Amino acid sequence: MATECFESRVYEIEVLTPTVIGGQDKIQSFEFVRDGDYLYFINFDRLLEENLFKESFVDELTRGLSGNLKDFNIRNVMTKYNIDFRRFSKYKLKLEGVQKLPREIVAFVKSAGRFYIPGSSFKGAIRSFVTKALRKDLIKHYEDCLNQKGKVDPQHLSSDADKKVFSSPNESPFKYLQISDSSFVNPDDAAVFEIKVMNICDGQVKWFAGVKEGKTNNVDNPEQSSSILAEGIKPGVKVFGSMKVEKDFVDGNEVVSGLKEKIGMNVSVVSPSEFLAEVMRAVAKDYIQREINFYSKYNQAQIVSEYHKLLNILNSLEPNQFLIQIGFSTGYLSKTVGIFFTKSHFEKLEKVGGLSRIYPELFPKTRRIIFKNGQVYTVPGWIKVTIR
Amino acid sequence: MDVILKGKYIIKCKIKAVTGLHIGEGNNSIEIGGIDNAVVKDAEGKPYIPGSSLKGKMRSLMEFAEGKVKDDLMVVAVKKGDKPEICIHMCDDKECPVCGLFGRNHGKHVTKKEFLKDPKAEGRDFSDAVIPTRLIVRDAKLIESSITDEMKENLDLEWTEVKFENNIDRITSKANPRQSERVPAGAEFSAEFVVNRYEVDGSDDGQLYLSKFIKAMKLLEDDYLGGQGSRGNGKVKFVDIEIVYKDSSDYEKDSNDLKPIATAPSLDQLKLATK
Repeated sequence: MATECFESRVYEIEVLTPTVIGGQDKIQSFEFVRDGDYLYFINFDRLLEENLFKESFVDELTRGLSGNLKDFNIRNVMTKYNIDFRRFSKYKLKLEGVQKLPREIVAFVKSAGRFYIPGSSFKGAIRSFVTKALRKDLIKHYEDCLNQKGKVDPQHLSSDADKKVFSSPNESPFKYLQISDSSFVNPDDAAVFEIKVMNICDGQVKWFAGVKEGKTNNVDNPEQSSSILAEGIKPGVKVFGSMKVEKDFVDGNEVVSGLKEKIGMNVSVVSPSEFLAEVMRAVAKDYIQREINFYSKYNQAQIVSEYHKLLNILNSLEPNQFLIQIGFSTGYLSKTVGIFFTKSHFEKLEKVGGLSRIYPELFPKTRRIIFKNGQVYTVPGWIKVTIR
Repeated sequence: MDVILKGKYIIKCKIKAVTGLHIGEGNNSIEIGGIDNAVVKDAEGKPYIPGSSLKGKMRSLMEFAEGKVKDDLMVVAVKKGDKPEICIHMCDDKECPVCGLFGRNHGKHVTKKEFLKDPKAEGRDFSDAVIPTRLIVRDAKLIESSITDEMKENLDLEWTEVKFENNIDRITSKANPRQSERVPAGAEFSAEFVVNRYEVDGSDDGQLYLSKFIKAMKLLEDDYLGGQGSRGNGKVKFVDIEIVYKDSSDYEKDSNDLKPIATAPSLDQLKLATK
């Protein structure tokens, strides 16, 4: 077996557009203090430990936290007891052109309090992109899943197709792709971003503004729309990790068939990591072009321009580089094979219970957009990967 | 076969978790207040790295690296009905670096090739080639101070964190969350390995098996330890390495003030002196 099979390579991720990998948690308003353009996230363990002797403070804090949180302001309580919130913060993040401050923030995934990009998220995104490069007869397995009769579990609708295409985890080519978690990100390289939901209603761009009297409320003016706040990594930040793309990932072996025979494109490179990069580049190019068409149709010049920038970067990449979209708010198309689905597929998908409303004529009809200073800014989650 | 113990190479080092480490306890029962997919812990409730996990992973990597993963060189260790479930390399080649370092068992063994032809095949006894195993791997204990107070403030449990992952359905995009416990990146474990040096039928091992062991350490650094390693977990690094050689005659002395034959902050800086 060639030495290359055992050697890990270094991957570098450069964040191109704000990237959010959501953890399980939502940070509630009582857990942070706003000070100008910054949010300070309170370390309650330390706050309580060092102020335990101030009984009335602890009582007030406990009363506040167990009462109506809407009326509770942690900063006021701390100020009253002369406690500097900066001294009791875990970290602070800049509000990146945020105009609305909702009551909760989507927390970035952390390991022992440190921001990082999990290998599982990165590998999952690669797997999602690989499915967009599959041969048509293999995509058919996913289409067939939509014909399942009886009660269907929306969490496992694609399981049969996944198994037919990639086999069981033990026999999947993805066992020959190893990706480590990334290095940690300094909180100075992260920020809080404002995300809004663009919704196409009757051919026009509207903005989601919550639910009113049981009905979804969409408005013309994004200023009046709802905001989702999320911790994310800023564009320009780089993180590193290790990656091993084994030969069997591409060529397969007697047990596992490799990706080379599963994908519907000719790739001539010899090195497994360059094979992966080439497939990813081809998928990204097709995906970006489709998104440019979508946003052009609805006159979203800023997003079209952002995608053109990505396309320019993509066209200038080296053989060991690729672009991929990863993480929270990247939408249905990024994560699924839905890019190949037509109206009739979505009509079938509409019948699957437990899903948000499906509009077969235009699905997905929503996109999540990052706003800055009240203006449309960019789309989330695009990263540039270099394998060294 | 004549076997003489010439001495022992004792390798002490720290194993640093570069990314989160999940060595599962191998038990799916959930304690009250416990979490799914827990990591293995010692009697004090602290996570540790079992010697068996380290040794098994190193053996597996060496089997690949030494070209031993072939149907006629693998024996069936666990079978499921008429199918070989777990196969490992084992042979009676006295020069085999894998069996020589990691050991071989008494008893009859059926190769995968023979088993696939005939699941009832009797197999062969490798006893003629069996000698005491050269490599001993101790359990690696957590160095408590490596999990700093700042890290501890952010952990879900006393020494570990809970990582959530999602399986995403590729048609509906519905997420199916699951959780697993892991030791956070940055944690260090105190490890010790012993490589026995034998003289077998007049032929001295010298540093051959020590070199093979160091190769296994390097292979592990470029792979992963524990579970979910192909998607993030288990990248480890050997640091603060010290190798001492104890000759068999040293065991007859009252005190053993032995100088290390090699010390290095990391494997890539490790150079062996001849002893």
